Amino acid sequence: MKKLRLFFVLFISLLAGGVTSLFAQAEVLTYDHRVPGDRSMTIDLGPSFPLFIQDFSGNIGPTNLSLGANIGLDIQFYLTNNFKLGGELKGFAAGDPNNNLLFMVPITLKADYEFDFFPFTIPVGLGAGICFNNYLASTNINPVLSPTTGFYWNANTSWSFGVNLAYWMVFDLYSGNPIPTSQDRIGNFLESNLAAVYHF
Amino acid sequence: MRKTFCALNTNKIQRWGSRIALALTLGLVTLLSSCTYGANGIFYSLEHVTKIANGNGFGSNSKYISINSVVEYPVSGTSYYLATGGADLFWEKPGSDLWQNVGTLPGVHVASVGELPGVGNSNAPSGATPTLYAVSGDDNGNSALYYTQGDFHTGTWQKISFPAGLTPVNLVPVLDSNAHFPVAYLVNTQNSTLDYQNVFLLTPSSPTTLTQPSPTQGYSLVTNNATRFYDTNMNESSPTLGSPVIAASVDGASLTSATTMYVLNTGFLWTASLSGGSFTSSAPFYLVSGLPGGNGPYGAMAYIAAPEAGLTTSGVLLGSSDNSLNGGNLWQGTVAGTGTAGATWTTVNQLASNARNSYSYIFDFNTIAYKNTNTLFIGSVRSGMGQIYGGTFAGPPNSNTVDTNSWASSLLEQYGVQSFFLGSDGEYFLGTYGFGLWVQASDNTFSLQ
Repeated sequence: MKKLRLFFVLFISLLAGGVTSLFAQAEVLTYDHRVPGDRSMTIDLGPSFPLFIQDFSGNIGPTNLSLGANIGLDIQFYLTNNFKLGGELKGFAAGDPNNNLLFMVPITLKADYEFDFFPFTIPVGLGAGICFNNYLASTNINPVLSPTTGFYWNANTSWSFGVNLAYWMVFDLYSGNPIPTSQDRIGNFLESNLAAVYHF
Repeated sequence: MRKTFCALNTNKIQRWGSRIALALTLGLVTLLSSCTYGANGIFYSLEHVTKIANGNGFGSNSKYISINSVVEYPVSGTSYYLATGGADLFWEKPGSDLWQNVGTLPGVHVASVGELPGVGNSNAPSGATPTLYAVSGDDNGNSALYYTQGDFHTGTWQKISFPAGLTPVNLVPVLDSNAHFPVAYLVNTQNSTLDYQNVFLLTPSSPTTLTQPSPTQGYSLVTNNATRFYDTNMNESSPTLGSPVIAASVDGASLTSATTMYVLNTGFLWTASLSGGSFTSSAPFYLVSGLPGGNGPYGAMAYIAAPEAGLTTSGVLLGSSDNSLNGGNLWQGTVAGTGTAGATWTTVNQLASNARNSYSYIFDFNTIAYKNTNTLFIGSVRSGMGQIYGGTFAGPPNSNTVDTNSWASSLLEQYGVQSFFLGSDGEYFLGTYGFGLWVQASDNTFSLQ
């Protein structure tokens, strides 16, 4: 009986040790932190919320746009374990009351700092660049600024999934000829996306 | 097992960086080359855009047609609105928002429609027979002036004959001193050399008879003065063809009470003496010299009697047009006397500066109209820069106090308004330059017909 008890305890111990070992291995396989030289490619998709239009006197006006949609592709390089730098290409569309679409294609240089909370990552970043705008017969290119944040679950070493938020400030600026500078505006938009990040 | 991380690889970063930089450069060049600017800033346009109602009367392409004239015509105690802009002639029973073709009118290319003596015009001559006019042509360009009296749905249209060699082009309303009702119509014609030197008058008292006022000075001058006379409205490259009359106005509430008729084409303003509803001579027109802003071109003119809309002096409002440094100016002037050359003009500064600030020099005033007593003059613009300036002159027109409320401007930013009509039921029609016919209801909302 003692032998049986000893065998049982030994079996349980071995089993527990093995499981622990497996868990430890799974942790290694699931996620590890990034190091300089790693790259990430993010694909995101989600709704965009046109917030308001502001002139340079601080007056706020409506966007008169419906809920929009956007899709984005982002490629970044890790310069440190937590800091990555790269570029982002996005496409955005929303309709006006007459079903005419505003198209925006921001192209930004983007820097992110990632806070790691295993197995989650919270990136906080800033993008700046140009935005290709098209509405009715008008097409132009404007400066754009975009603070971003997100929340990702690192599923394994290659993939992370999560959500992100981006606030877009699109500076619609004119030279005065033919469109007067009094029509300069800042378009404010909020994006919320489902995102998948591929690390390679 | 640990993931095998890539070591920091400078070459890779440089290679990727080069690719991204190249792509961005190519993209930027492509995008920059594709920049096109509309009438307004993109976000500014969005900030002001309003809902456009769906057109239901002129067919599925209603929003793409131009409307240059709207009239109201009575049939057996019921008023109907009629509108056209170069295609068919359409009619609507007020309030129905259902526009139908007038199938009885010969021709398919209806240049303009007119009506005398004017529904709701308390100053119209009593007993005048309501007459509906249309200049219409077939596919071969054979244009004619037609009229009907009675029910246009079933009645016949009669052709008004012109002297041999003259073809009617369009109807120009001669507005009363409130720029409200047509008190008569001028008919532009072209001859075999395609010039516009012959115009004719239609009056309520003699609605089917043409009167041809001969110019004392002007039309011969017009056709011979190549350096001054050119027609920007018609996009003519040749300066020798002359220009049609684009606006006409009298200084009275009716043709019979008026003493002067003012007639404008793009470069010149004439006056003619009237008495009892007729010209006082067989050669009544005199050219007014000393117009403001050089030689125009002008796009809008109307005689407005004070104190209409707050004006303290009566006079001619004259709006300049076209891509010139003078475009977008509005003046008020007084002609010293019919048959004299002298005229004095003052600039409506506020309106002009606002217009010019908005659109620099690409600005066209092309009509001046009336909405309701004491409140509104309207100068509209086109060239794809639709704006409507309306308001009340709170003092002399050079006092910078005119209200430049640009109602409906957002609605029509991409298109201009080229005709206005106030119906007897209060509906206010705006005929656009390529964007259908709009009606402003009493709550100031607009809908596309």
